This record gives sequence, C-alpha cells and structure tokens, in this order.
Amino acid sequence: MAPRHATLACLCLSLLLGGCTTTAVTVEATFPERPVVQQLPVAVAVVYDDDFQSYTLAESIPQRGNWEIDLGAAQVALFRAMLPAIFSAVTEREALGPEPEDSGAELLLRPQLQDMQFSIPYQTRSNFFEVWLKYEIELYERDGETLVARYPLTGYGRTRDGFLDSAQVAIEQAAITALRDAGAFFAIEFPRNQDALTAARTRAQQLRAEKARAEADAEAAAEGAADAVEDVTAASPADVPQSPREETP
Amino acid sequence: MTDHRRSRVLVLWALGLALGGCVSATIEEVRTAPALLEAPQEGSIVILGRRHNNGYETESNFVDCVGKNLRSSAVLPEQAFIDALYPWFEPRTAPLGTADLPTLLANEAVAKRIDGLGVRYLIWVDGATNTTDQAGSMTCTISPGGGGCFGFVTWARDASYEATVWDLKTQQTLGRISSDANGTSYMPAMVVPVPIIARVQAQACSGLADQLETFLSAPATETAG
Repeated sequence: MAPRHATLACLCLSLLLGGCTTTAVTVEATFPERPVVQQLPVAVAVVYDDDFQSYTLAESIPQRGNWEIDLGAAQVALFRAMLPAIFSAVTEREALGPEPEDSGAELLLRPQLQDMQFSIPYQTRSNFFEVWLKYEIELYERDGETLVARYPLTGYGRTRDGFLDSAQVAIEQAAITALRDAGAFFAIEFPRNQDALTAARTRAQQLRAEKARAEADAEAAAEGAADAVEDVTAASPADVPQSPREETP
Repeated sequence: MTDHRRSRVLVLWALGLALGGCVSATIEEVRTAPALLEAPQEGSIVILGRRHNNGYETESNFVDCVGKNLRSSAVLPEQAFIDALYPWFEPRTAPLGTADLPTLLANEAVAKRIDGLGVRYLIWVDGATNTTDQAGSMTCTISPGGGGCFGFVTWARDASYEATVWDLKTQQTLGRISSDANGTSYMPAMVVPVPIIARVQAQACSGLADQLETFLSAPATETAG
C-alpha cells in the first residue's frame, strides 16, 4: 500500500503545483530555401544582434503558469533562408559598422523584433493558439551610420487547439506560421518598393551631406571664434569694448 | 483487473464502436464549366485548405483525408506544394479567386515552378468541423481501491466544407462541391465510459472525396447539371 500512497501524494502535489509550472517552447523550424521571388541586383550585409539571435519571450498567464518562447534561432533561420533569394549577395556581420573597402554590399540590414505577443485558447475563448510578431528592418548605407529607412513587417500565425496536441507544439506551430507570414510579406512587398527605397536613399544622402556641411560650418565658426578670442586676449584691457550696462533708476 | 472484468470492458468498447453515432450527410455539386478538358495526370492535383478566415481554418488532417481518399489520382501533398511556391500560397498571400490567377501566373518564376511541379488543378477546401451543442455530465473518481466514471455526456458536431476546383491552364473555376455532415455522439459511463462517436468529419471527408472522384473523372464530352 505504501507505494500507492506515495503515488497519490505525488499526484496531489503535482496538481497543487500546477499553477507554478513553466511551459518552455523552443521554436525549431526550417523554411523553404528557394522562395519564388524576384531577385534584386543589390548586395547587402545583414546584422543579427545578440538580442535578436537569442530572443525569448517570457510571460505569465494567470492560472496557466509561466511561458517562455525561444524564437531567436528560428527567426535567424527565416532571414537566412529568405534574404539570399531577394538579394544578389548576402553577407553577415556581427555588428553595425562601416563596410570594408572590398565589400560589395550596398546596404546594411538590421532586423529588429519590436514586439511579440501570443494567446492561448483559455484567454480568447477560441479554439486557437495565436502568435503575433512585429519587426522593423533597419536599412543603412554602407557607412553603417546613415539610416535610410525603417521597414515595418508584421506576422501572424495560429494553430487550432488539437485534442491530442500539447500546448508547446501548438504554440511552436503558430510561431512558425507567423514567421512564414512575415517572411512572405517581406519577400513579396520589399522588391515592389524599390522606387521608395531609391528615394529614401537619395533623401538620406542629402541629409547626410547637409549634416556634413552644417558640421563643417560649425567647425569653421568655432575656429573663427577661437581666433577672435586669441586676438582679444592679446589686446590690452583698455581696448576691450565694455558691454553696455543697464541703467538702474 | 480480472479476465472477466477485462472482457466486459472490451465488449462495451466494441459495442460503442459498432453502434457509432448516427451521422447524416449531404453532398451537392455545381459545375461552372462544361467538363474537364483533360483527365488529371499523376500529381497534377493539389488540395489546399483555406486558412485566411477570421473565425476558423480548414483542418490539415481533413485536407490530407480528402487527398488520400481520391483513389484515381495521385495528389501532390499540400505542404510540399506550399513550400515549393513559397511565399505565394501562405494564408495572407494565397489567391482568393480565379480573378487573382492572371496576376500570379504573370510572374514567370511562379508559372515556371508550377509547370515544373506538373500541377494543373487546384482544389481549395474551405470549412471546418465544429461542436454545435453539448449536454450532460460525467464524474470520475480515483481511490486507493480503484476508480470509475459515472454519468452521461452527449455532444453534436457539424462538419461543413466546400471544395472549389480551379484549372490553372484555363484559369477558370470548374465547379464546387459542398459536403455537410452532422451527428450526435454519446458517452454513457457506468464505471467505464463507452464512447459512441458520430464520425462526422470522416463522413464529410469520404463524401467529398467520392464526389470529387466523380467530378474529376467525368468524360470531356459530358455536361453535368
């Protein structure tokens, strides 16, 4: 009888501790390697930040415990599969910075996951596990400093609540669908927006030129002021013009 | 569990399976083009589930079921086709009507990939199986001396699907077939629950597949109403 009592005690304990459990989901996915898209004659360098590569969403749902969804590796896999189909050449960089002289990259891309949300059937009273992703693709000139544009990208995925499927599997599948959705939108829409990209690059270059000119002017003005101060210091105190004083009544 | 008790449980389960819940099914077909111009070749058919609707999405297992029940034609697996045509057949990007086909197929890369796969007929399946009503209750207890369930539960399910057949060559809708099935399942429990399941989704699947079989094998000269 003792083993049976021990089993029952364990069962009761596990039921009591149920609310403290953590549901850990690691999204592992492979994506189609040859997306059918129009390839642009543009070489790019891509920067995957450490935060991006190791992104994990941690959230607590009342009465349903803690959830941890590790999306980092899957989203890097998506971009690695998708970008070579869209751009003529893709190289990866560890950090944002000026491109080497021998690099053919015209643009630098830095994908950023701005927001990730998910819901389970308990929260929405529906039959679906759902995942929302909100990305922003930052595009820089090859100097690594001039921001050309921020390209917004969203993804949505859902999985039906299956009788025999675990919540982990359902959330993972919903996340993969959301990633595919974001990738599909980018692969189709980005090549269509080349005119806007060209205009943005021209604008960014103009702004950069104006900024450089303003900096040069400010530098020249600062040098002129420094020369004037030197002249004043060299002159006698009697020669220094006095600032007008306010007359007090 | 004694042999006598085990055999009683098995008999109850077998009875439940044998009885099954009653299912009523309706199949309707509408042909919008005279008939198929060419008989489907091996792998020239793909069955895809619609997943862009807000409140439901067509279950993958239903799409698989219809494909497996189409005996005369080898059907290209849904996921293989979607992956091969990525990103054009995702829920957000898939063509919703034949009016979208000229634009899609004007993309040379897409047209070439479809030709390479040898796909000519797309069958879109739209619908879902839902629980429409449920009643009753059941209580299960476990004690050191054993356990059991007591009660009676019943639920009704409705499977409603429509298949739309597209011809990619003519860029036309050839026809629509709808399959509706509904039934009520029961689960009485006297110590052991005995499920008497109405297999509505399976019924809708086999009905739809049978009708598609007829539709796709219709001779070119025949004009069905």
